[in-house]
Amino acid sequence: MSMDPTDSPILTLDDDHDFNTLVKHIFKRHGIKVTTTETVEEFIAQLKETKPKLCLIDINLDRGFGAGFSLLQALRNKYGLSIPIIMLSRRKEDKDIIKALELGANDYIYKPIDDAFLLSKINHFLHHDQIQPLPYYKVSEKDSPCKLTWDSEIIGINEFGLTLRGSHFAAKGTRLNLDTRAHAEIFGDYEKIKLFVSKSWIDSQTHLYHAYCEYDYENEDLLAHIRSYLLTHT
Amino acid sequence: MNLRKHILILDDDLDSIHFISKILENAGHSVHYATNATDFSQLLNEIGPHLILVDYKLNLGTLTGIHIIDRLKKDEFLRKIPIFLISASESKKLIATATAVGASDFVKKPIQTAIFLQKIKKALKIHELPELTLKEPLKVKCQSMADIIQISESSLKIKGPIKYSDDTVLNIDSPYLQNLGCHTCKYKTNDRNKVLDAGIYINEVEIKGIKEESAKNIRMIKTTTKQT
Repeated sequence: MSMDPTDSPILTLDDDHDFNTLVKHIFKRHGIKVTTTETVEEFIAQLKETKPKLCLIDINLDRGFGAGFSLLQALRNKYGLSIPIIMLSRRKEDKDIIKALELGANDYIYKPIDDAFLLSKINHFLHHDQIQPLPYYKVSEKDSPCKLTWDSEIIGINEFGLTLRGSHFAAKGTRLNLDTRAHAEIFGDYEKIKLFVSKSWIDSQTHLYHAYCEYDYENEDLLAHIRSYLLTHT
Repeated sequence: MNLRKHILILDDDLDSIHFISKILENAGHSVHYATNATDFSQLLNEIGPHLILVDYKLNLGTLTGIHIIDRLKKDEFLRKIPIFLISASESKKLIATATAVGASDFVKKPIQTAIFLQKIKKALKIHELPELTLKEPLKVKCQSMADIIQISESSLKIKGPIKYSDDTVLNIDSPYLQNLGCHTCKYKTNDRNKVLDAGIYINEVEIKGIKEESAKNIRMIKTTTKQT
């Protein structure tokens, strides 16, 4: 039998029959086809047959507390990250949510289901035009400041600054902090160093962004550390 | 680049050290000095000087400035630092020996300020430390300040100086999100970012693993803003 894989983009697994009926109903209203299953065996069979674009799996299946975690783990082992998986749960414990995300779930949706929330979450993977995104609310100025941390790498160091490489573009003039705890041999006992992006460019071959960042020149002790390191490593 | 240069002096004559220090400090340099070999070695390691001045006559037994320069120039690493020999004598033989062991220049006492500073400037320019290219890039965590300007139950709009690529895992430290009960959440950028102005970007960040209470807290925020 030849079935269009896009025919049934969503596959769900939940042993709660009423929940499956509700989910079908919500998706049907938006013209999204869904295949619901109630056992792991059924789910695996449908997974092979329908090649879904997205799976929703309940954390608690009747075969045991947290059986959904085992299935999630097995799917990630077998298929890697190729199938987006969202875990569902009525359990409110923080550690369950964190565990699901750490085992490779793309997201987590709480029960009881909120229609708009569910649709917005699944639409992140399906990209249907007719599904309304959830409304945005304005955050007041006093609440808005935050600190963002992300991974990057240093590819070059000189006595005035260092070169960072990554897939993000940092505008000239950006002030950054670098967590240098793991690199005391170069930066001494400083946990954090201040940097100032003085030049940004994109490498035409790797398409990676580079940022040349100058050190804080007021910090003479840090500069001396870096010079001493450079003296013995260049 | 407007960076203060560190200059290390080895001399047993404090008057001479003070005289030279004045000249160099007035020119914006940072001066360190030692009157004996132990202090000198320690300062060498601590400050990694840009330039070293060694007096010919030292109170170190039979050792002269020439011996010191010779030793430093034989060191695999320290040889990169330019060294000047300072002396009251300007015999051709002394200058020839200094050059032979690797001194970058020779300064005659009494020092003539303008010529001296000119020589220093030139040497500092030539002897900048080379850039270290890392064969194995160093993994680091970068941090910058930004502003959460809008929030929905499933995502945030964050304004800041960085344009993040799609699918970047971000750690967000925000008392506001903490108060909404988002401590279980993980954050990942999507591909919808836009340029607000030169060097200011709005990145859309997906909230993963939000709890029912937090979603409710977000819905409670009354002032809906128009979709942008």
